[in-house]
Amino acid sequence: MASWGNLQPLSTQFYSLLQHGLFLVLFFHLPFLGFLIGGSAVSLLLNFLGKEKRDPSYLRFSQELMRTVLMSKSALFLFGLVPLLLVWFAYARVLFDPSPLPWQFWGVLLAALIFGFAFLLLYRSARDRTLDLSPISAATGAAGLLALILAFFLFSAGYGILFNPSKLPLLQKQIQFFLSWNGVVKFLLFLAFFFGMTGAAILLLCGRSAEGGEGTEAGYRRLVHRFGANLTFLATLVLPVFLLLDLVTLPVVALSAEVFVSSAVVLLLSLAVCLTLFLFDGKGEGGPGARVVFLFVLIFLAMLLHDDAAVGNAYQDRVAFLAMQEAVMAETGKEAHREAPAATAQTKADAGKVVFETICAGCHRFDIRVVGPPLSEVVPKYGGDAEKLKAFIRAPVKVNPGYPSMPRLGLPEEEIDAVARYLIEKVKAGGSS
Amino acid sequence: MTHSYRKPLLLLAVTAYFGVLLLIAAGLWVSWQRAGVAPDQPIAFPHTIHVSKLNLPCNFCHLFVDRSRHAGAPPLETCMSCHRAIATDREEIKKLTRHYEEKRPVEWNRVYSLPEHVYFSHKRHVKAGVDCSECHGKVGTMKKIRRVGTLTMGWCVSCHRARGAPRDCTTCHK
Repeated sequence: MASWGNLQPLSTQFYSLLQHGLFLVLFFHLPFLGFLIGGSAVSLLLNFLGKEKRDPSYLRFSQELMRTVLMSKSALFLFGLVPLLLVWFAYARVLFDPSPLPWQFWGVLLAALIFGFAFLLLYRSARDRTLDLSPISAATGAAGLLALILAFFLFSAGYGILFNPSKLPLLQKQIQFFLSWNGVVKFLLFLAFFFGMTGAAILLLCGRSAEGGEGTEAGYRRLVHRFGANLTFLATLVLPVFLLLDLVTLPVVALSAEVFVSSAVVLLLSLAVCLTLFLFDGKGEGGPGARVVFLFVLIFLAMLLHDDAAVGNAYQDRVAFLAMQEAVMAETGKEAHREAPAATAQTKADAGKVVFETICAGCHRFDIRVVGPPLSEVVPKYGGDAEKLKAFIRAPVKVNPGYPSMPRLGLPEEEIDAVARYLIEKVKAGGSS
Repeated sequence: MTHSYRKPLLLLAVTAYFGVLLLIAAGLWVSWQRAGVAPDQPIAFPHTIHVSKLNLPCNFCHLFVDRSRHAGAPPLETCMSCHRAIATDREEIKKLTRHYEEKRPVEWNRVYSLPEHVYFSHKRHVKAGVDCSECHGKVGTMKKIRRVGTLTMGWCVSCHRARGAPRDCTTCHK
């Protein structure tokens, strides 16, 4: 992991690109994972209900839902696994820290995801073959679902760290610090969103298998519609509660007006979802499906903007620090360019004069006290020993209690050398004249 | 008959529910603003210049940080030792000079305050090698000082646990 040690963001622009890029990846990855979790959970629930009520409509709905959720294996790879690698990479850099979460964390997360995907694929193919599912196949589906939920819980806990930079030094000492209340709240918030989104997707995509020509189509469609609408409605009522808890548990450094405004937007959009479900609770083509799905896309966008702003707030000091380093480097680059011809003794003396006038003259004059003592009084104490004077300039210590301490200036060695020689020469010349 | 009332009533109930949640969110916003995370100060002292540009160590101004419970705001004499001569034409320095000449202390607004039942010593933390920035953030990048830690008990205890510092009740509650 040492090789990650130099993985610092290269520039402030690159940093913000990474931060926003991370949320862009999540914008595609999380809904995919969410539909998989929500859809599988609902399919398993319908399977249970169908057996309890001995109603084949439920089983048919369970089958149709699983077909919709797991349409292709390549989508699992593309939207389920690849984004995780991108998230891993962005995490290391966005956090300014190569290994805030050890490889074991990512390993367990990835293993749980793959296990979950594999078991859900098994469940889907069994579900596809027959309406009367064996308990073992149902258990396979449940195991896959639990694995995905575990993976998502780990992901949420790690996601919570993104908002709390003060946890990073603690994390390196003890791994259990990756758990936080904010991480747990985010897990529940996203879970509520996933179920709401699944309900919306059911309204839009399911209940259309009239092509099967199985009869009782109207009854089946009513069941699907009622189930989708109720699920969306309940999840949309629960979601804002977790959103408020998120505001309560977010570290104070992550809060800003943008975070509160985007939360209010999510609340208003959730209200809009509920109203849409009431006003278009109907029938057939004029149903709320497409509208609700569109509103859920907006909700998710607002949720991610909320998180993006919060991460930006949490790391603003570090980014500002990076910007300062860049400014210093640009300045040093210019100076190095300017001082390139400083080879001869004459230019060295000139360089000493330049350093004196730009740095030292703020506090020192030769003849009178300004902030520090007059140089014609203190420089002769070094008896012309440039090395001794250089040592003082490098790391000043308080000598005379009548003056404030001189700060450490952090000058490059050649500037210290040039200014020390300049001061000795100048005081010598001044003393003789 | 009852059925026709159900829908509008439900609509009303749902709207009221979201209204209450919005009010709670607004309340959280107001309480966050009032918490004074970054209060305005009587003199806009830039840590950016003094810490990042001049590389002054923290205890250059906060004289007692390694000697006392309180880090202490610097006496005006400390500011004036440099600002008698430096940047005297700036508005904020003129303000500072007026305070000094009128012997009127600057009433800084507290950014970090702990309740009375908490005993906290800067000296102990500095001696234990805790860097100032671990609790106060990178002040050198802040034009206006903001509180970065929550100062909750969990926040303190997390760090004590990670560093193996004592966690007896009496460590902080004397």
